[in-house]
Amino acid sequence: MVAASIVLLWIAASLLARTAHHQRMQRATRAATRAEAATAAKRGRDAVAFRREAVVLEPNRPEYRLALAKALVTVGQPAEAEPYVQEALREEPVNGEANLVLARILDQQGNRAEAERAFYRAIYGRWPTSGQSLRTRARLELVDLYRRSGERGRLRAALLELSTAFPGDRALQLQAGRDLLAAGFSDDAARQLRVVVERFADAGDALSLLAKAEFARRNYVDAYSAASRAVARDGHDDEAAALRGLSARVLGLDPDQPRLSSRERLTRLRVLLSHVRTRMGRCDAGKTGDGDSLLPLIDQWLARRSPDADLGRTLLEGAVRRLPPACLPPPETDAIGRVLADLVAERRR
Amino acid sequence: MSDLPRAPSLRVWTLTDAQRFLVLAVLIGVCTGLVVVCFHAAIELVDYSVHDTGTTSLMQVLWPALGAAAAALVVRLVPASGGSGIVQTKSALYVSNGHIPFAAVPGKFSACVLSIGTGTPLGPEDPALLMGAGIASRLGQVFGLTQRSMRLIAPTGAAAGIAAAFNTPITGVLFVMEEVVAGFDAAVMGSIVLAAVSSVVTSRLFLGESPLFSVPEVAAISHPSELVAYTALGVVAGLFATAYVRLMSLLRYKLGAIHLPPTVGPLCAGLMVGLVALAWPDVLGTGYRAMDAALHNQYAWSTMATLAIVKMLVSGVAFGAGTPGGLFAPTLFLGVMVGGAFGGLAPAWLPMVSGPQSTMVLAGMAAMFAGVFRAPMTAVFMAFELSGTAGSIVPAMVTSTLAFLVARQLHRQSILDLVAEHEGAVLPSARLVRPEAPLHVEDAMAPTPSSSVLVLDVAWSAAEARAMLDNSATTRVVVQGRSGRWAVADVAAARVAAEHELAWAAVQHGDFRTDGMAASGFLSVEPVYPDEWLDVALRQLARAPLVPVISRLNHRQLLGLVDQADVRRAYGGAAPHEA
Repeated sequence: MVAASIVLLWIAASLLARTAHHQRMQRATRAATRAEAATAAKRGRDAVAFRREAVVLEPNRPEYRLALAKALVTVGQPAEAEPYVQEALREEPVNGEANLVLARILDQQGNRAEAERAFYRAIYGRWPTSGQSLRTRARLELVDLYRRSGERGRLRAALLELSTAFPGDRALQLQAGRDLLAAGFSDDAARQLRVVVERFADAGDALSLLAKAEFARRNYVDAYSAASRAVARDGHDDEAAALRGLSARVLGLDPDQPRLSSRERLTRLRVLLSHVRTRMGRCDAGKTGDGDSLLPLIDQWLARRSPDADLGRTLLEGAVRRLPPACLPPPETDAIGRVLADLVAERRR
Repeated sequence: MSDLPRAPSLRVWTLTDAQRFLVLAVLIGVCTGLVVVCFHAAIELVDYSVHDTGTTSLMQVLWPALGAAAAALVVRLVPASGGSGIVQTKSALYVSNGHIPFAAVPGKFSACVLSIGTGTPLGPEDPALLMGAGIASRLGQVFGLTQRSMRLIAPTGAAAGIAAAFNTPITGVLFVMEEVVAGFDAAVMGSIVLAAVSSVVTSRLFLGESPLFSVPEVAAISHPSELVAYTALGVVAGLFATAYVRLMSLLRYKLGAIHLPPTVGPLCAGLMVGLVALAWPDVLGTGYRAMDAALHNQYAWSTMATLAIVKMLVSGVAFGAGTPGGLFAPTLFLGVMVGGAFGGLAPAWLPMVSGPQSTMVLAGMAAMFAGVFRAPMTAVFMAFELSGTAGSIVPAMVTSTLAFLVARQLHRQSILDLVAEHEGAVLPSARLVRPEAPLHVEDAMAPTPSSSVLVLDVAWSAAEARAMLDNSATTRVVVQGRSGRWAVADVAAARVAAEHELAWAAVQHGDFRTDGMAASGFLSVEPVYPDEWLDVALRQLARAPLVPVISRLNHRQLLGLVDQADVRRAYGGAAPHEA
């Protein structure tokens, strides 16, 4: 009788538990759907509430826990989100998405070192076929982490890695080039953007970016060429047009351009030195001790139309160094400013 | 042939009563686990049905009332299913030799499914406890246990019920030991643990292994200053627990004094609950979801404080009106909300409150449980098991101990004592011990050497013994033979033994046979230890005029002697010669 009772109870418990579980599952699915709608409508708090309801109903579904964690991170509650992610990771330590969420949490908490490790685990973790875009996202967020923390060496490495990771992804390649350029790695940026230009028929704004990168590298011929191609491709690209003009003017003023005649070099030095002389007068730079000694020499060199290009160049460099930066024309938009900045940089180098 | 020893293979299959009891404990655990799974699932299904149909305000108000009335009707049909559950189990242990009517199990099941499923703000844990005890009682009868085992069977089932209801085996064991058995009895411990574990294992097969609440983050106490915050929380929870117990007592007596038809009281209480739930729906039912939300910091402190007060009122009214359901869940709800409200409010006054909200919530929950049920140890382990994290133990220890002390200072009885008293029973409790504790041997023992008893040394020769006896004014002697046996004798008998070398040699050896000629007049006696109950010595005194008290570390060291006059003196009575 006892055995029969246990069997009956077992059957009853199975049926009731299964029915209740089925009900729970349906409600949890409904809550998850509502959460997705709330997320799409940018109602983060509602999304969290629905996600939480789904987790309460179905506590053993790791995907619900992970979704709740993501929603919590979105509304700025990383401390609460972390245990959910850790639970998901306990079940699958190589889960790429869980590692990405953990990395975001750690980043929000200011734990950069651990966040970096979690980003790498996310990048090299396991992702579903539909989640490959998130793997890319992990790389981009890692780049962003390095950018914010000012770790230039790691930033460069991460960007170069990003550029080689997805060779067929034009947007990503372009993004890598853009980021390299924005971070000041103009050589790497130019190399990357040239690859994009060569590899893809429709290179987007790669030409315009390449022009900027070459300009930053003081490679004005290539900058002019890339900007010209960009303008030819898109006539409304004002930025490229401006850069083309600026590059042309720099090329017309730069005394260090190859294959210039001595006379032409001397003429360019004169133009630049008279410009600097005028600026010195305006900025009272000649009243300083050094300036007092330099001004008569400059005037003498200009007045006598001296053929000594080396002296002219030395005077020009000395004068530019004595001028306060505010007195010099901006090198980003002004060709003379650019040439003078290059001269000083060249001397320093 | 019948004198031959039984074959070992047959002896294996013959279980002693104690062994049968342990096997039965496992069976009780399995059956109780299955019933609790059905119970949980049935409540959940009723809750879903009510939730789906009760979309209009009218239905939201009506459902708790209809459910409570239907449950009261079940109690009317099966009176054994009424009450809190814990009182019936204790009655079975102390009064009715372990007997609980089996009708209480289906009755409590259906009544609580109807009431809690439709939104009555009470819990399923105490009913599960009664169902476990009822199943155990029935199985005990079926298996023909002895009366002593039958008395212990109800707590065993109770532990299985509470463990399966909470998915917490340690809590089940501790609560039954602390509250039902009212002490730690080693005889019943093994069966209680077996039953609790087997019921939890069974229920987990169906309901999963997750703890009742998913706690996001629990931080251990990292700085001593944090203790100040937990101390304050313990005091606050103790005060709140006292208020809750007093309110319950008041409502139970006041509402009990109104003589209404049996279903009308719960119906009216249900209507009130339904109306209140229009404004605060979180107080309905067990409140587990609201507790989970509080653990996840979803409420403002003011909301949690309001919910605590509202839940206190509605659960008090529902329980006072006689609606079937348990008090565990509402108590935990109050603790969670008090802890959460404190955690939200305290940082303004106590800068050291910096830990996560969930730690405060768990500590508050443990404190309220300790204050209301006066079971601090259970409270601590409950916090640990419900949350599944050990970081909650120290905060819970601090708060529950303080809440227990504060509540006990302000109100002598726990809520269960009050309920028992209201039901006309006075049942023992670990807390309500009499001021006069049972006496130990050391309370009556007279130290040696004594003026009335001579301790004979077996190293003496017969002549030396004779000389000592001649010079002594004592009336009795006590001796320990080389064999380790103790004996007492009159001085006259000792003199006779000392006269004869053979008899003295027998005394020295410890051969105190009553039928032998050797040491006649010497009465063998079992010594006692100072820490044993005086009852043990009293049993020995029925056979011998005095009992030696020896050291546990050295069995040859005589610490003292106990005779009947010493016992009388220890109990406060005068010895006959003093009278």
